[in-house]
Amino acid sequence: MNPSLVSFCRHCFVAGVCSGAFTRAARAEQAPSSATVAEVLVLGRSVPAPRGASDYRLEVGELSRVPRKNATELLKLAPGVFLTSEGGDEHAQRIYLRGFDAREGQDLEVSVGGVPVNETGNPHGNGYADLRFLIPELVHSLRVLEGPFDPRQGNYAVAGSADYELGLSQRGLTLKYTRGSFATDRALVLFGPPGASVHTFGAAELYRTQGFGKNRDARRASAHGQYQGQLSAGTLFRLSAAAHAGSHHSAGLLREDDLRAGRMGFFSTYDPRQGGDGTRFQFAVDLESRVGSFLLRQQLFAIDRSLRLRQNFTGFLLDTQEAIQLPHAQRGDLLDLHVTARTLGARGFARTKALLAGQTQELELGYFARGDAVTSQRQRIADASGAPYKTEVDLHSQLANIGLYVDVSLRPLRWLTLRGGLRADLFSFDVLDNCAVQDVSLPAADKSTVDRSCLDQHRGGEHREANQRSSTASTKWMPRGTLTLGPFEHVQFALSYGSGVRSIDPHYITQDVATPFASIQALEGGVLYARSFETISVSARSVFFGTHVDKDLVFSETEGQSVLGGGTTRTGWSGSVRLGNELFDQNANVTLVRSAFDETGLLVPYVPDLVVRSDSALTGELPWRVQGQTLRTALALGVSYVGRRALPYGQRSQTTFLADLSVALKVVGCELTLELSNLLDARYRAAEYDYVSAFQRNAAPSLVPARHFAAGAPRSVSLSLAWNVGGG
Amino acid sequence: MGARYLALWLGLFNGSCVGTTGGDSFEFEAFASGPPSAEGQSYTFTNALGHDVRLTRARLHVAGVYLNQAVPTQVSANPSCMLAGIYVAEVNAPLVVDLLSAQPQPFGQLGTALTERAVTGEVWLNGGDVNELHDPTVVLEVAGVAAKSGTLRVFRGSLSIAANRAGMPRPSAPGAAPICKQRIVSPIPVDLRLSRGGRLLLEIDPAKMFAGVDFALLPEGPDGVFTFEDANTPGPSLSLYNGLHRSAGVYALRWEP
Repeated sequence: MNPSLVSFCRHCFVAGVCSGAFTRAARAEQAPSSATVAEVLVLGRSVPAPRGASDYRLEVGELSRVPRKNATELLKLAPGVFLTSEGGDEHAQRIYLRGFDAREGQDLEVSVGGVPVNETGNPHGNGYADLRFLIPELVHSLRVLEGPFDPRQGNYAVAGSADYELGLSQRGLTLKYTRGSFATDRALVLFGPPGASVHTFGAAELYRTQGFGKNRDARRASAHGQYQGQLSAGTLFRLSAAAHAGSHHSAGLLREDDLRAGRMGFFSTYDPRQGGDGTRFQFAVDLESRVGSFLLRQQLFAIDRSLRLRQNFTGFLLDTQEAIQLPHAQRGDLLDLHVTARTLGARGFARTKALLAGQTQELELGYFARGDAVTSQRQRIADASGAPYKTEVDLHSQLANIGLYVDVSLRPLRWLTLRGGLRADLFSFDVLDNCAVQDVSLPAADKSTVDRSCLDQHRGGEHREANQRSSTASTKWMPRGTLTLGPFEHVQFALSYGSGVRSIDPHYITQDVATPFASIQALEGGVLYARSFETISVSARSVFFGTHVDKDLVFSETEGQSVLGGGTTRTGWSGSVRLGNELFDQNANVTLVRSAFDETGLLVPYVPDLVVRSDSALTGELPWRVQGQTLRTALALGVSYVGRRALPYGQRSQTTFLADLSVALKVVGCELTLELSNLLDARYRAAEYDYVSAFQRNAAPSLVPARHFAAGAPRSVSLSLAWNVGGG
Repeated sequence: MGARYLALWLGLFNGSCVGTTGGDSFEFEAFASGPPSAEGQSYTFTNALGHDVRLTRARLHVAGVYLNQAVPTQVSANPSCMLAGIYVAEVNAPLVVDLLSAQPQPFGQLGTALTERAVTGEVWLNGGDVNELHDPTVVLEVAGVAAKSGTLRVFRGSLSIAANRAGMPRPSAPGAAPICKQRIVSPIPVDLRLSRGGRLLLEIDPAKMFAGVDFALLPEGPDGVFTFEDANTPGPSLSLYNGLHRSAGVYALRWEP
């Protein structure tokens, strides 16, 4: 049977905590070796116990063959995930998850091997999560927990959390080159010593593309190294490092009426200066050891991040005349946002278990600590000169989040388990606003304030400093729990409840005012079925869910980010199935959800209410041989369907139906892969928004909200040749 | 909470994939005209100062028409030319309206609207960028004959809104009175709720523009025609310019379902 399926099914029904760190010869952990060796002790890290019906442990396996542009797209293996990419090739994708508009990660806690990806204090979106630094071939598995049901989940776990586990199944040395449509080149090197853990590897990629249409060129390089070893008989360590640099241009959004009138083409752009640049460097150390009856883990991580985004959502609309400005026409709305952040953090836990009433009972105490030093600036750029004419945001923020949790697993009967506990977090903010005063109604009589963004006057011209510091701290207590019944004849029932939190953008911080957290309450019930037959393994889930957020985020095109809005409630159902054997692997899911504002009952805009996704992979041997070696082939297909999304003012988006296909031939360490993305060449809108913009500089600008869209990528073809040495 | 969610779940399949974010967005036809009593070739009225006026030419350049769902406050103190509320309808196509004709004259393209209540209307009177100081567009062109106490005066005028209307700025607040304020007639009180299938009518009454114009003070040109100056010169020229801006009485917006 496919090892990934073994692991997948095992996770479905794991009743106790997996003490994988000390299990012997877990096959999924052991890398295949070309040499025949005796059974060896292979250590694997422990994994948290499942938290209900929406805790998806997704082994990627052969489904990695389905064409995907980046590691974020692996999230679509979990139900209810819809991604849009209007910001360009190197901009974090917008994530919709089970009725949530999680934006670029603001409502989804994202981590890689436990190292947080969400960027606290990023003015583009507090919690912005950019996974572009991750090389997709390194994603071994991911855990997507759709809801805040695990006490380990921290800040941003509003819609849920996603943790990527890295590993390299293909051992040896691999060199891969890809050439594709739109002058796309990608070179990739991968290496993992045969016989070592799949979690020991090195990888680097270089990528460049002209992109489809106009102004979509991008280039990036990433490197990732990880070493997992054993310090002593009971101690496992892991060192990992990652580096990434990227740059891109973005076409941004187009007005639908300009397309209809022939003023703009489908793949055109209004402002070719849109785009971005970013770097990320991170380092992490993990230690996991058993001391007596305790299992201990400690992780330290450090991240250095920079990001620049240039976006123009509105054209020539927002530069309204102010009294202290010299008379001017609209100078242009291009936003130039820059943020640098340095993050230090740690997380750890201690777990122990005892036998009580004939069943294993467990207790875990853990913590998470993170500090961020963030500098952010947002300016408006003049269309004519390209120079900044106004500073809107200039913040230096020192942010901290320290959380602790208690997690128990009580199992009074073999078929009854209650897992859960309490998490408490403290968020502290120390924000120096270097542009605290941006307008003054009665300035001094001289010209000292004219055309300045950051003022040093009160009303009447009285002097004050231009900056102002604000600090505050708040705590949040969050109960979470899951009751599971079963399994009974391969069927298990689960009921989960949890409370989650999203901290606020430092921009909103006011001195000593309690931080207005966005809080979520989630409840779900589900049925899980998992069974391994002789020739096939089957796993299926049906989950009904409901979530409530007291202060949701609503996208504001004028701010270029999401802003706090009212309360919202989501109710829905998702179903998923995964089945397969040595020859094929099939993962499919359907999610129906209704997201509505509490006050009005009206739908939350932009959120898809129907998402269908299927990933299929078929592998096998062909009846031909090359130089005496078997010729193997693989076929993979990914299909997505997204219903008509609700848009503001009673509008609906178009539906999206996309299919991606790959075909591979492999012989003697060489693999040739043909990938076709958007196989049917559907002309679709990757994102649609309704808002006010004025890109045409007419005498009478457009001031009524209008439909905008980001063009989806047309069909593209790529051919990859991979050559492996020593991988078996 | 559990009972609430159970009820919602049971109703899920009735509600999923249906519903709305509220409201509607649509296109509509828009027209502008002179007053109903305009005869096509001329328009006769008596102004507030007792002048009997017969207009033989009255053309107004309209850049666009807007409806907003908010009533502006402190209009004069706010230098921004955009209202704070949501604009719920717009016709952003220029039209030179013959004010002597009561016949609806169509704007060059359809307007767009939301089904939100509008309480404020705006008429934009500009040729280029509304913020650009220099704009040679003749906004109002008038000609006719005025009579009072047996004296006939043939008059004409061409008004523009550009540097000739710019005030003297305060050094510390040079943008307090931007030129766009001069070009936008606002707020025009309305109470409209637009809906699919209807049409918007802008009715402009030139008689109200001339309400305070004392033709007796108009300077006579070398050709014997009394001419309105294209400047903020106190007197009849400024009175006519102020009349052009009068948001109540001169401009009326009507929605015909």
